[in-house]
Amino acid sequence: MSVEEALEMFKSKVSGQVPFREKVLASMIRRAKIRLSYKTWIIFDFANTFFMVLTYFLLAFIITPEDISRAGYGPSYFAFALIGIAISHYVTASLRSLSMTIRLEQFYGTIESILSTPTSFIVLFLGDILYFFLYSTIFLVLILWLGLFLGAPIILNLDTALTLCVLIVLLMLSNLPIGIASAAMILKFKQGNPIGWALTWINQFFAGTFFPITLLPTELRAISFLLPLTFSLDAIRYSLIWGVNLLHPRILSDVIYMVIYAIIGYPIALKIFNIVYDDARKRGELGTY
Amino acid sequence: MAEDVREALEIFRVRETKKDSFMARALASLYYQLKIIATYKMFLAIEFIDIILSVLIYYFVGFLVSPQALSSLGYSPDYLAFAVLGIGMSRYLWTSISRLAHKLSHEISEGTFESLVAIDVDNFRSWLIGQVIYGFTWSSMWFVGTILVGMALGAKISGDPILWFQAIFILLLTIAVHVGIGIIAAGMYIKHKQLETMLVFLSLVMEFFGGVLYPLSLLYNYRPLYYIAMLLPFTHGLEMFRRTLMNEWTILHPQMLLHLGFLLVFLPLIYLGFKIFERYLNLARKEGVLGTY
Amino acid sequence: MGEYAIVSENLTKIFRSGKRKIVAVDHVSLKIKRGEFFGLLGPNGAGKTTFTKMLVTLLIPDEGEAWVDGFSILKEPIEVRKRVGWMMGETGGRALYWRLSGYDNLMFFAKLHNVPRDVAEQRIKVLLRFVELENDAHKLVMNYSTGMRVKLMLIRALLHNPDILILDEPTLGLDVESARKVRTFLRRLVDDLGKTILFTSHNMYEVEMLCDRIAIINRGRIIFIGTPREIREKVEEIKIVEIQLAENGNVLDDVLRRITSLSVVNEVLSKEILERNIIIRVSVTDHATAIPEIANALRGYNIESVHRALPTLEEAFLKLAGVKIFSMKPSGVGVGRYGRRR
Repeated sequence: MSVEEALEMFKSKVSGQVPFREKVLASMIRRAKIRLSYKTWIIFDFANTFFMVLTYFLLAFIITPEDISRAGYGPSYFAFALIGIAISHYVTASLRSLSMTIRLEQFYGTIESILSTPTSFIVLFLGDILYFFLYSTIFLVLILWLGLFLGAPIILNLDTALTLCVLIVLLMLSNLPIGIASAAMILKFKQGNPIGWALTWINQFFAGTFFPITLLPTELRAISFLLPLTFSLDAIRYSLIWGVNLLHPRILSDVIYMVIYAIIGYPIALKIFNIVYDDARKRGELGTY
Repeated sequence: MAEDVREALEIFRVRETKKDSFMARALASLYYQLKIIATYKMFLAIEFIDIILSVLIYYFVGFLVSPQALSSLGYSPDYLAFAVLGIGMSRYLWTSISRLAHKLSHEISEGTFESLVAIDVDNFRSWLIGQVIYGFTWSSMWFVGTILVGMALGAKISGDPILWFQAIFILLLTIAVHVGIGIIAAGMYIKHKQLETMLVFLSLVMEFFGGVLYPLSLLYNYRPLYYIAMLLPFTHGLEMFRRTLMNEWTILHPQMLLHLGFLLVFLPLIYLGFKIFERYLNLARKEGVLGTY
Repeated sequence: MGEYAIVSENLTKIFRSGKRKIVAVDHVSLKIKRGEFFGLLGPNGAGKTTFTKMLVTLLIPDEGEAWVDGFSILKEPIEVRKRVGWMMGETGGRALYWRLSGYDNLMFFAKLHNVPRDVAEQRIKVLLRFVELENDAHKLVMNYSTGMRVKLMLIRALLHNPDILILDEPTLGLDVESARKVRTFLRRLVDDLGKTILFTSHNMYEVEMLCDRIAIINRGRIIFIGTPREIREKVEEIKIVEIQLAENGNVLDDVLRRITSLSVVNEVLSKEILERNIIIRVSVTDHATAIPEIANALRGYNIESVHRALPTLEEAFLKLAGVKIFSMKPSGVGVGRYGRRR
């Protein structure tokens, strides 16, 4: 093919604007395609979750649920643990997806290509969060279904399902500032994995994924109350186990806590991120990993 | 300029006849691995937190477990001890097994694997053994850490030195059986390049079917799953290990002998492992996929 | 500012690592006209990439300011990015998603550059055909060769049809035929469509052939700006004689002493000892008188040849810059050493 034909492409000036949502969508699809190219990883994720549910199903047989019901979560340890497992992907998504994005883009070397376009990095973040949100939702549905099949006493109806949707969005919103701050840490320290990993573990432990936090000594429980996840978990459990909706006072108070976290969290997290980002552009370390 | 060329050439004039022993070379490969890992401080710190938190979770779950239920299934009524021994042993085996395959994948992605294979077979085998031993040394930190944290939290684990001696014997035997599996996994990796599936499948199977977190007798109502569990060497190793340190059974206990028999059946896996590994290696060399990833 | 596409004023970038300070770009002031094909030539680590990264707003300068198409890189980075097509240097082809296909990569970046879908589809199709990648468009980039990735990166930089192209070593890693085609295409972009191209390279030949003007950068400083013709004229002022002796290294000191005592010899440029050969290059005031004088001075030695030689790139730089450039390798064609054998 001749140079003439190729030149032809550049004679017309198209000044268009690709709508924001189309960019976010494109960014989501890109992440999905990349992730799906690691097929075994996805299979692992599913198998792992499946066996985890089964493990806690069996463990529940030797557990006396007194402490669970004393903490207000009804008579079934299996239901208690199941809900913890079911939302764990959302937790990981909000805590780690942003830092993973930065880390991966640095690793691929695409971060500079993207920043040389007039499109803001936020598009990428939103696309990735959207991808992880959908991915986690598939897990949520599968896990709840498996739990119901194994006889977990959770109450799923239109009322609680809608409440669940709202609470999950709040869960992600209230946990994202921590994710943004840890993404900034990655830009700064370049050591992504350990930080994200520690965050996940700490949240899993202190927010009480596998046991009610009432079992924690008072000093440790103070840490629990610093984590928005503690309130998200409490609200989701309470709603699914007792079949109550957003208007229940206990859930309402959890919601207020989550909203407060979000309101306080975003300005701080974005500030930290901007400082680190500008610093990286000054030091010329955007692309290094 | 001519001077340094001459000097460099000089090195190759002598043909060395002396060789380090097989074991010395295996140890050398271990030594350099330890040196590399010591540079990952952050990694070590996180590993440490990981140990403590994972034990702590089961410390608190332990409060929920009814001691009667546990002892009615034949164990001592302490769930923390039960979980700590399970996690300790399964993680120990799992990290050791995955170690070799991970190391291989690393060498391949760094492009150094082909030069490793280029050295002669004997040397390559000692490199392999060195990696395996290294895997176990490194992960034994995990093991010891887990048990110590568990004991600090009050897990009732036997302190009888003779029983500990027996426990270590069981551990070594279980390891020996699984070294073969690790080498096979590594071999399959060289050929199929699907590391995660292999390893993760192993870990899932070990954690779930081995009964790491719950007593296996609970699985008895789900027959097919129960049979799968019984066919795995790890299940028997873990059961013996727990019985020794929780129930203070000696090896002469009839149930223990039964488990021991099961484990011994799997022992030839080491030899088989080497054979299969080399077969895969040769296959990969034929197809020219040694260095690709 | 209207007639200039790129203007930089005292642009400076300092990298600090611990106590060490490295001045990567040192008060660079440049004006590149619209429709100009401008070459930035320099050895590795001279500051070419740092300079271009500041222009595309990936790096914030420590001092100075620059305007691209009239927009400040400090105050209006988004406007700058809209107008620039940037191709990252370095082979290896990072800067693309290896686990996406070539087509997916281009489509994604087209969206980020605000190119509507139908336009993007058309351009991608034609450009992939142009660089002969149309059959590999749907393969994952991880399975591409280096050359294929370079082509893809070039297309990526062009997708939004920017008026200003900043290309960092765009032909490195391409085969000879593709490189030729790409060069022709780039030249035509400037000639026919009035685009401005800032082009970095360490290949003297390429830059000389393509560019309207060239700046030579070394250790962060512009040491020369001019047309290729001006460079050539400067270079031709250097008169070099190459001496080849069939002797071994231990006579070198005596040989050098004899040569430097001659008044026609200005300076010894290089001395090289091979297995049984000595090669010395000197700059002289005049070829005609110097060659016989040198031959005379070396009587008694086994002279293989004393001849006139063209300056190497390094020697040319030395002349232009007045500073010695280390780590500079003569690159292949062009002002190479073809005066060596006669």
